[in-house]
Amino acid sequence: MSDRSFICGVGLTPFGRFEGSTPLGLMTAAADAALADAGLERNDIGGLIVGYATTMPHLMLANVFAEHYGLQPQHAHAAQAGGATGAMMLVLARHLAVAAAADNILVVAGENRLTGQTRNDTVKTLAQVGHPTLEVPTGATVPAYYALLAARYLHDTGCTERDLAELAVLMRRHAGAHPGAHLRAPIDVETVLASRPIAPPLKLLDCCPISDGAAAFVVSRNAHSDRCLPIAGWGEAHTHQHISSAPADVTCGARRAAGQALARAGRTIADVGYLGIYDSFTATVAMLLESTGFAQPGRAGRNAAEGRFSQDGQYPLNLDGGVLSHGHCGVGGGMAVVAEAMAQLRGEAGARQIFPAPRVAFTHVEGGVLSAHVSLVLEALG
Amino acid sequence: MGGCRVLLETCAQCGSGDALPRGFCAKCGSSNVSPREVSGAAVVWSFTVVHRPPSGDCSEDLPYGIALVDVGYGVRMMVRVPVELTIGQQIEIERTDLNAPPKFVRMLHSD
Ligand SMILES: [Zn+2]
Repeated sequence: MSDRSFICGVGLTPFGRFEGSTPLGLMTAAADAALADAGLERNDIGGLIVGYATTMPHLMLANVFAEHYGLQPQHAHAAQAGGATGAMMLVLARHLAVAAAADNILVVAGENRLTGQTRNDTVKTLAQVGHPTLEVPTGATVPAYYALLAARYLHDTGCTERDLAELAVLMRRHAGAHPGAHLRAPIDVETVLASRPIAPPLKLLDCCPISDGAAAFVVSRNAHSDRCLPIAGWGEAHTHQHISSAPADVTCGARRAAGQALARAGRTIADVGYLGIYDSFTATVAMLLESTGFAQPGRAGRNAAEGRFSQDGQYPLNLDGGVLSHGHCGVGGGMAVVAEAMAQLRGEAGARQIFPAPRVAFTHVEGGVLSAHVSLVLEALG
Repeated sequence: MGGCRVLLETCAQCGSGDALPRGFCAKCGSSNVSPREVSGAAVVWSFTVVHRPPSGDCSEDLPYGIALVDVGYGVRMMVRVPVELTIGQQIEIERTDLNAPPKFVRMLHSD
């Protein structure tokens, strides 16, 4: 049995504020784009995995979407792992493909997270990531959970808020070259530092926006064309849910997942030509870059200022602007991180394209509060 | 000196402690667990200030501090605190309910 699997299609709606958009409508648009990209029809799809939508809670979202979209797959299920869901669905689709449970698996998620509910509801829903009796009653928010990690990270490494701001500036610069990005107006370090406090050391511009949007992939057993990209490596680690129960080494899950993915691909970080790293907050991407080995402890922000993560740098990072600027619509936000890696490997990223196109991309997303980690190594075909 | 106490659930089998009353030990699986009080002296592992509330309900309290603090048995807990605190600082907290976060009592002078 072949253990090969490929991502053969990708679809991304623009991210931003889209009044009147719906989860099923956004998912449909992304699915259409992914099928067209893969050169497949609805009836080619044998497996379906759908990411949760906070604006459309449902026990059976995959069946709901299958019915809406006109699919009757042999396998369908909905998945939840917070921000890590998108990449985890790709890992699951890979397993289905390798097990020959389906030839082509559609992976899709999207929601009107910005316009489908009030901002208060969003903040309140997300805060439930905390423990219901031990954390939520303190009045903590998701930014506060991450701020606790960020404050400790700054304390331990000597990294500064100014260093973190460099990452926000870089992501905004990258988003400027992506027509579908939510936030594209350039910002500078002083603007980030002067933005209003959310949960120190995190300020408004250290935090990703809430967006409407959707993303989809088609994962297949066979490569139908040279635009199909092998899933060369994958790794997961699930170390805790709540920040007060995190291991002493809070980012060890990222290190483990990354190590597994690179080992399975037979690659080292020196082989990597493009990085897609989840950046819900500036501190998130700093900690993840360092725990996965792409920056020394405390150095990620200064490395960004030095050009290490720019389009022409050693490790081009989130050239779509990351979730910090391309936008964050929940599960689809983490999927966009992978979508840009695909665009770069295929050499189809337009003004954002790295020359020559990278051969190996590493992506890492996490969910919860560094709770669920998924790393992927994607490669160009041939 | 007396000082405030913090209630935990502790395991007689492996000696670990837990902020949550599970009725069993998450480390070793033993059900030989019972409530036990430890010192309310806690060390601040990290600290932030909430400027924007999780819902409209508690906006009148803004801003307020949130800390992760370490107590006995290696247990880390979240606690609402004043807005001026530093990492490594010692504070006194109190907890009498296994189903609630501890409460901040006062700053302690560290040596
Ligand atoms: Zn035990």
